[in-house]
Amino acid sequence: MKFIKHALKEVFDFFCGDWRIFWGVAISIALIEAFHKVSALAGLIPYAGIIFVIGVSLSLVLALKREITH
Amino acid sequence: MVWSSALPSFLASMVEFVKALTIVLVVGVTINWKSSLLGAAAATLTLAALVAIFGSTLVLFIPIEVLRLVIGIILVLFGMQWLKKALLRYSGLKALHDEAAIYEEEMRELKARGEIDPGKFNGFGFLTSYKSVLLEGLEVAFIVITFGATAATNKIDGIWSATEGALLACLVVVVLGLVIRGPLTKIPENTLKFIVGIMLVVFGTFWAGEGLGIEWPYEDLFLLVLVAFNLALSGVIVWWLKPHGAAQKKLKSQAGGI
Repeated sequence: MKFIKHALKEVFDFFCGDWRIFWGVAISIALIEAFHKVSALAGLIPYAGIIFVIGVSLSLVLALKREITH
Repeated sequence: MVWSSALPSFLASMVEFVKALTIVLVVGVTINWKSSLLGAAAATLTLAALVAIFGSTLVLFIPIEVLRLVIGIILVLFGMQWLKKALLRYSGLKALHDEAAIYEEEMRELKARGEIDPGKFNGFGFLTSYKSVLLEGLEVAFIVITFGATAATNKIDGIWSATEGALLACLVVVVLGLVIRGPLTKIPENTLKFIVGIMLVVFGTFWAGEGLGIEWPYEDLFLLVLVAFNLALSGVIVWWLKPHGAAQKKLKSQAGGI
């Protein structure tokens, strides 16, 4: 169990290494997917590109903010 | 030659090969060149096998639309890591990589181990060299496979171009290493890291967006808009972080003076 946890952490650190970036990007993707799946949000589809770019950028800003507050 | 595959591979490889070469040089000088070069060669073969196995799996079995979404997301995450480190270094919140200091430190550690016969194959030297080339090269192998498989319409051409970019970087770093015969302190590692970070994030955002059904205006030309946006954002971030970096430096020097 300890080995699996360690291996998973190594994989996470190799590909991402920061939970704020991970969740920021994941939420942005989920949001864009929701535009296509939820009819009430379909009106936002033309802005999906801008929202996605802002979501990704905010992830980076939040990750860096953590570095200065620690 | 597919430039969108070859260029990111070339730049990323430069960064990683400089770090790997530093260790290979240290092992060569302190233990012996036989163990050091054998370790580096064995790691290179392992990396080539990884690229061949995973590259061909991607080429043969996974459709380009799926690849673009999955690889786009991974590239954004991967690129953010590089970009974050580069921005922290630019703003003074993280120390710049000093290859000369790393070189000296590794030398001290290896010399402290003693019992070295310069003419004989040394298992520790082999493993140190192998491990460093393999670890630094893994990121390169990942970039070669992902950019190669997604940037070009023909995935084999893409992977081949990305491999050519990485091999060229390896050649440049090795030749420079032979000429300088020491750590490559002149290569601006943070600038390269920043450029590669921007490229990974831009391509990753673009491909992941396409995979999510986003129709980018002006199609491929929108990549330039993303580059401009990310450069401007990085400028603002460095401007925002610099006072914090200066404050941290001041605090450290005050603590050192006590």
